[in-house]
Amino acid sequence: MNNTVTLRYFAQLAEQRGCHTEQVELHPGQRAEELYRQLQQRYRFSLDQEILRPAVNGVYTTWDQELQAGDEIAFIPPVAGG
Amino acid sequence: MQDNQLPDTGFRLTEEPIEILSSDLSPGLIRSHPQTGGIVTFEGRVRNHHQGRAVLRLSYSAYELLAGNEGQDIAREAKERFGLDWAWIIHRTGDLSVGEMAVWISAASPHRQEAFAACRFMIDEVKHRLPVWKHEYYEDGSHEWVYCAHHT
Repeated sequence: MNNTVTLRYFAQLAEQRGCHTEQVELHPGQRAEELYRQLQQRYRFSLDQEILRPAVNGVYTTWDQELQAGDEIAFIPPVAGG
Repeated sequence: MQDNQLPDTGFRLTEEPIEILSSDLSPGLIRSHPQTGGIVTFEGRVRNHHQGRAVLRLSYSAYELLAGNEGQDIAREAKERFGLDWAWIIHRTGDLSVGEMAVWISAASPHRQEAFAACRFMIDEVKHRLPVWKHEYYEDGSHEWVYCAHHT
């Protein structure tokens, strides 16, 4: 398991997944959009990619970012601060 | 807080009432910025209604790592863009009841115009970028996640 990343789930995604964090294994060269598509199919997430923003290691990024072992990845649902 | 430890831009998440932190922060910022002539403060508070439904309370959750980075970036951007003396943002997390402060924003500059504009800039950015989520609980017993802003 040396190709794992940590996923963080928030708001609706945490509710639908039933947890706030988990480790998953990456395919070589996997990008953020491919990982989300895979997770959405596996867990039947109701939120489509278009309304999420990917974040890697605490910074917003783009969907085509290639993920690395050890990354902390979150798919950020629409925010509601303030 | 000691004055010499206070940076000109800052962001905090807190589970305690915001007043505790903000009232601790303000005197030190004022003392260390004698050039300041105008301070504009925004307080966002929990209201008792949302789209026609009676709200009893709500709960804020945050992604601390990303919120820390984004919140600090928003304050830094405001300071640079408007030439502020300071820019500070505090956001509450956890359970809040009606009337409690959800967010506190402080912008200070030698003259008032920049402070007003910067305060508005920061609250708008917070609503679009800060990874904080609101779960509202209604009088009729229902509850749900509220979308305030879609990502732009």
